[in-house]
Amino acid sequence: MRLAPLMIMTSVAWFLILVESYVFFEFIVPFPKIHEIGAFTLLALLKVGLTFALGVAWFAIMFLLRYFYVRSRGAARPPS
Amino acid sequence: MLPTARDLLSLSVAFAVPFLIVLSLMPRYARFLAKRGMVVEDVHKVGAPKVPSPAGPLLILSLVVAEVVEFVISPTIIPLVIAAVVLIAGLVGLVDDLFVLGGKEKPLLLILAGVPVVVAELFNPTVYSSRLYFPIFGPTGEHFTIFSILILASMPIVANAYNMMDSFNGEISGFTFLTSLALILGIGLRVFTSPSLATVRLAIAVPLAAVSLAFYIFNRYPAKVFDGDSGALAFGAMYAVVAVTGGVEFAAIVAIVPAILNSFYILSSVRGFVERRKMDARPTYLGEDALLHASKEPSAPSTLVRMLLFDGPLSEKELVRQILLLTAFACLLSAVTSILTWVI
Repeated sequence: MRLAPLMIMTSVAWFLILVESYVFFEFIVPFPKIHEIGAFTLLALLKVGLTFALGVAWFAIMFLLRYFYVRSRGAARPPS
Repeated sequence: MLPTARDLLSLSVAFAVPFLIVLSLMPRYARFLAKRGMVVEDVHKVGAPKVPSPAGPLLILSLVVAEVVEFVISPTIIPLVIAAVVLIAGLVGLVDDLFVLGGKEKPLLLILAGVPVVVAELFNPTVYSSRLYFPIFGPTGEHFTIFSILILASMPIVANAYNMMDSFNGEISGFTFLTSLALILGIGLRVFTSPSLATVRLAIAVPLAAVSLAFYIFNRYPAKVFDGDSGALAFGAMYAVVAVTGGVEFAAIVAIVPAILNSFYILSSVRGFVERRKMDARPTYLGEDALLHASKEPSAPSTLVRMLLFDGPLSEKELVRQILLLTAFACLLSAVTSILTWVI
């Protein structure tokens, strides 16, 4: 079935959005405000870093899925 | 909570008014565009027939009229906010239709479409709730600043995602209709399980389904009229703002995952915001067999359609059917998300 791999990719995207949003709002947002100084500075930097990491993780996983999909179809090669 | 007679009247009007406007005026409007020479080539057909475009102004008008009627029936500010968002996004699209905006100008201008929502919330804090409702876990805390920034950012993201799904006959109209049904289901479940929420939050979503359904009649294969960027951007911006005012952002994102993936793969393959007319190669080409084939050019953007065609060529009609099937699957995931959020 032509659509099956794309349905799997859609499901993975759905699952990641669900999990990552929960992690962001429940664990990262309550960290100290990013303009805090002193002992909280590292935590504040960690807050930005973790948020960035969540976004990168989503993109990386979706990019990898596309890479494997395209490679499995042998369509990534340029015309000879 | 069951809907009252007044609720049913409000919902019926929200569907009937825009549906009938599009159904009755579109043939005349398409003839008007053709007479003025406002036609574009349907490049996915042999002979590239000319098709009237853009139908966006009529679609925008019908959406705005429906929201104004809804405001008269249920006098809250929300339908007017929706109308303002549709007008701004539609205007940006119309400028793009007539003069062609750059790949970076369009997303920047679309941020303006989110401004009425945030401004309205500042003066009347009932427009949206600054919290996300998660399936099973429940709501997060209030985060007005983060939420407002996300609203402003969501306009160009969602509107452009819709615009990138506007390549084939019946694709954008079918996609909008299916995703608006997912939105209506989510808001419906929320409204009828939370007695404090007014039905107007559901009624404001209905015109999107009505207009896209009526437009599908004219836009399906073989298309008699195209919406242009004005129609696609207005559809996308309205979808985003209705999701925010309805408090179903999560389910709304899930329903448009195919469009989000499509945008992400295009942007990553062409490395940034590039206007589609300036792309080096097209993702597909029309073969001598009159079927659509995936481009083998390495510089061609990796669209969802191109990925679908890696398995072999398809007719335009069958290709759109496959895209809409994938959208229906995403809408099913969205429905599961809504049920997990509001019922269980």
